[in-house]
Order: sequence, then C-alpha cells, then structure tokens
Amino acid sequence: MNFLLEYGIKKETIEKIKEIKDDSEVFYCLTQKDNVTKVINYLQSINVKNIDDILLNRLELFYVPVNKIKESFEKYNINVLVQLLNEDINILNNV
Amino acid sequence: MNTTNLVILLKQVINDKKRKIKEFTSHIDPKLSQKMDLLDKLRADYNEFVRIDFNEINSLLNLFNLSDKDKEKITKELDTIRVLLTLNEKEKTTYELSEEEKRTINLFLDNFEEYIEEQNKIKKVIDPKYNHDLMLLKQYKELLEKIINPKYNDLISDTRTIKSLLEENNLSEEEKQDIILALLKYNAQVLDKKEKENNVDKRKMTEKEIVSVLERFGYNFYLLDKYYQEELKEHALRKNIEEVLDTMQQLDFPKLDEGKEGLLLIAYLIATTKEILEEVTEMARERGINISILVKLVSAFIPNNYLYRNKYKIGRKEDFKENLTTLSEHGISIPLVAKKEKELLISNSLSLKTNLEWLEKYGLYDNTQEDALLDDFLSALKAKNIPEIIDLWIENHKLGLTYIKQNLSALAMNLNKRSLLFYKLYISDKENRNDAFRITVSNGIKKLNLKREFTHDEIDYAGAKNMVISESIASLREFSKNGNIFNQIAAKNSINKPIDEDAIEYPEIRALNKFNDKNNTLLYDFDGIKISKLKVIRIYHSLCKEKRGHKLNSLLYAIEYQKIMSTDEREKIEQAVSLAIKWEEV
Repeated sequence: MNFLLEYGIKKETIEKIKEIKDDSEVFYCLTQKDNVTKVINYLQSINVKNIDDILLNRLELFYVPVNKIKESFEKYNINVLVQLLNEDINILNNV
Repeated sequence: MNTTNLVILLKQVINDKKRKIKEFTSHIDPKLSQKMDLLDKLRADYNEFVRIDFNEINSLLNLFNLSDKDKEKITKELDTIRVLLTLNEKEKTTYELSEEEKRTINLFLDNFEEYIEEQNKIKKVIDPKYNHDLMLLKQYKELLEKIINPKYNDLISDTRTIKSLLEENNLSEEEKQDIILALLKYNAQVLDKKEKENNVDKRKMTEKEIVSVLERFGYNFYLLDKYYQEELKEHALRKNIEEVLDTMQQLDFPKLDEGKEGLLLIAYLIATTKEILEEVTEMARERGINISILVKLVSAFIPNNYLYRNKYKIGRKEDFKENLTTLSEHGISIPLVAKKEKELLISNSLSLKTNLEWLEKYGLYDNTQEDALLDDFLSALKAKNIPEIIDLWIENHKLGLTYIKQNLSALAMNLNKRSLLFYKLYISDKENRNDAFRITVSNGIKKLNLKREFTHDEIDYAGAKNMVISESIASLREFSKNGNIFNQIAAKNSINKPIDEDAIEYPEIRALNKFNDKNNTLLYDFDGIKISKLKVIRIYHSLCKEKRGHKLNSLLYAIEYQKIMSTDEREKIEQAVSLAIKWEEV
C-alpha cells in the first residue's frame, strides 16, 4: 500500500488501513491501484482535503471508475460539494 | 477415510499375537538343544557327571516327573557318585560304581531322556504355530505402519496378510467388508495422489519458457512490473499456467493489461487452477454476474487457505460461494451488488451474514439504490462491529438514529467507543446545543450531515478530549471486582454471532420494560439517559451464558456497557434499576 505515499497519503493512514482491513481487502485495493490513484488525483484536483479520511472510511469510492465519479460530481456545484465533503464524507450518500 | 476400524483391529491382533508368542516361549525350553548334547555326553561316558555342578543337577532333576522323595534320593546318590568319579579322575583312584549307583545314573539319564523327548514333542506341535504367529506378527506390524504413517505413499497389496487378518479373527461378514472397502479407498487415494503429483510438473520454468507461454495467449511478459516478473519466475508451474490461460480464454475472460493489472494477472497464474476457474465462473454466471466484473475479483478464484508470498490470506473462494447464497436468501440483487460494490462479494461470509441479521434486528435494513454513485447499505455490510457502533450512535445523540438511517455507510466507518466523535455528540446532546448536524437537501429530501467540529478530531469541542481521558479512568474503577471477567466475556461475545433471543424472557429483563423509551423502540430511557435495549440483551445474555449473570452487578454492567456518561448519570441508572428489580446481591 506504500504506493499511496507518493500521492500525499500519510504513513499513519496506510498503517491504519492495513490494520483494519483484512489481507484480501488490501490485496483487492492493490489490484485496483490504477483506478485508486486516478481517483486520488481527481479528488486532489478539486481540492478535497480529507482524502485520508475517505480512504479509511469509504475505500469503495476509489474503486468506482474515475469517469463515473467525475460525471456524478459534475451534476452539482463542485465547490459546494467539496465544501460539504470536507465537512462530512457521508455526503457521498447523496450523490 | 475410514481405516480407523482396520487400525483398531490390527492393534488388537498384534497384541494378541504377542501374547501367544510369549505363552509359547514360556512352554518351550530355550536350552533344549544344549540339554540334548549333555545327555549324549553322559550316555557315552558317565564320567561327565564330574563336570556338571550340583546346581545344574538339581535344576535338571526339578524338570523330571519324579516325586520329591525320589528327587531327594537321587540328588544324594548322584552327589556321592560325583565325588567318587572326581576322586578317580583327580587322584587316579579306581573306585568302581556299585550296581545300585549305576542304576541311579541310568534312572537319571532315562528321566532326562524322557524330559527331552517330551519337550521335543511339544516343540514339534508349537513350533509351526509359533513360527506362523511370529511371521503374522511381523506382517501385521508392517501393515499397520503403512496405514498410519502419513509419509507412506504406496499401494497396500499384501493380500496374504489381509487374508490371514480377515480369516483368523472371528470377524462378521460386515466387518470384513468394511475393512476391504477401507483398503480399497486407501489405495484409490494413493493412486489419485500419485496421479496429481505426476501431473504437476514441479520444475521451475525458465524466463524463456514463461515468455513463450504468455506470448501464445497474447501476453507480453516484459510489460509486467519487474517485481511480478520475478514472482512468476519463482512460482509459475508450466502445466498450471498453460491451463489457466487456456481456460480463461475459453471462458471469455477479458484480456488483462500487463502494466495496469499485473498483480491481477500473476495472481491468476500462480494462485488458481483450471478447475476452480470453471467452477467459480459457472457459479457466478448462474447468479447473473458478468465476466467483465468477475475478472476483477481474483480472490473468488483462490481458496481461503492459500497464502500469497507464504503470508497473506488473499483467497476468498469459499466466502464468495457462501455470499452468493446469503445475498440471495435476503433478496438482494446479486447483479446489482456486482455492479455497485462488487468487492462485497468476496468479503468474509460470516461477517456478511451477521451484519445482515443485525441490521434487520435494529430495523435498519434498506434497499440498494440503483442510481446512486455508492450504495450506503452495501457499504454498511462491510462493517466490522455493527451492533456496537449502532449502539454508540443511538445512545449518544437523539438524532443519532436518524443520521445512521440516512447514512448507513457510517456503520462501516473506522469508529469505536474511544472515538472523539461520540463524546462530542454526547456533550452536544446533553447540553441541548443543537449544533452537531446541519440539514442538506438532496433530491428534495432533507438529510442530516455532521458539522466540521464533529468529524475532525483535531478540532476540539467543549473539552471532549479531556472527557475521553477521565471516562476511561472512571470505567476502570467500576465493576472492579468483576470488571475484567465481564470485559473479557463482552469482548469475546457475539459481534459475529446472531442475537440469542433467550435473554428477553428473563424476569429482570422484562422488568426493565418500564423504562422503554416512548419514542424509540430501540432504547431504554433512564431519566433522560438513553440505553440501547439490544445492547443490554446481548451483553447480559453472554454474561448469563458464562454463569456470571442473574445478578444486579451483571445487569448494571450490561446497561452501562460502553455508555458515555457522567458519575451522576451512572448513579441515576443504578438507583433506578435497583428500585425496579428487587434483588438482593448474592
């Protein structure tokens, strides 16, 4: 999971993920590395601040094809959405 | 495989044979041939008596069929004879033996001969049996060793031993058949194993060989990450990778990208087999899972006991199978799950089952949303400790239940009883600050969302951080006598077991019904302090099962379990409960 480090994810976050997820979950994440990194890049590009939190608590977002995420997010005012997302990641349930 | 009966029988007959052999040897004189030599010598020249010592003559006499009186008489006379003969030999005297003395010698020798003849007769009868039993004992021991030795890998074909075993031991026809069947099965398994071993070419493949095999199926070895190239060189088995690639092609698996999906590709090549690919694909197809989705779930094709790099349990084949059944039984659309959150299909099957049951129990079951980007119900099913988390949400804030109903995914968040969030919610609710949630409108529906101060631990809120510390000290003090045991039982308990309804019938639990919250069937209300009913039942029941229940102490423990509260609140609860349930502390 150390590939996340070069995307600005904290080491503690990576350790925590390895702690709370079982081997097969971590392995799945590694097999989806390509999409995961694209999603991180996209979220950073729209100024999402709590990517670490989302990785810890809603890892499945990173498995959704990045284009689909873009499509869904762009239905809303991105700035407002990101502001709300920075407050409570569960806003993703409204998207 | 049931060779147990055969093993038991073999051990029995081995002991039996040992016993018989011991018995035989106790009947046969082991020094018979020496005695025969001695007799010959004495018959040829009675002067040989000089060379037999007194004890030996006595022990020989004891073997003869003579009365004690006769034995004594002969002993005395032989003694005299020996002295005379010794003098003749040593001192060169010329004493002649009297007729009487000669008669004694002959009597001795005749009896000696009689004894030897008798022994030979016995031996003649016993010997073949003795030899036969010795031989059988050896064969049975060898057969037993073959069966019980896990390293023994050959067919069992000593038909003679088996024949003797079956014939000699008073077995019923049924028992004989069982033994024969067990041996046939044993041999069939040996053959099977040998075939499998022969089929697995355990030679490591050279890079050239691997490159060539992959090329045949349209893959470029050199596009793989160097690390994965090495893994393949280390672990690839020729027959297996060829079969896997061929089978994937036959089953219309999409071609994987060596660069972006290298790990996926090598996992297929080294951790699964043709048979598993066929089995799992068929299973998935029957449930409407598209192959283009299934291909990403390589763990579904890897057995649970497989260790990747000898360390990581990446296999979820058995869980995948179980999950398909579980989801169907709960009326959840598998194709929809496969589309929205496919990795749920390879989650721990026991967790999935119990999560579904807990959500039902708490009335939080929901439908999957076709249109949403993510589905919060499916996300919730990945939670590791659902009942505990639900309790924390519903006990610490009056809007907690609403929030999780609208955001079931919150149940799978990385939260626990020590999370600052719950302390903040507790304070906000207790002090009626109404500042924890904001309302957002989504598709015309009002929804709750948490405010920044609550979701960010680095932001302090009303001294919540300090409360966490003081709380943990307080809870250590409580239940000091039984605290540890209770904690252990509660921790061991039931998160991954469905709730046991028995405890609901206990009179002390029924007595708590007077505290039912009027607005929320999931809660008790102890003078404003909200406690999760299902929590009490769950924890109390596990204490009762471990024989620590049915006391005020244990009931209070269950009620106060993981509840954030002040000392005053704790006292309120304890007073209310003691009054309601007229118990005496045992």
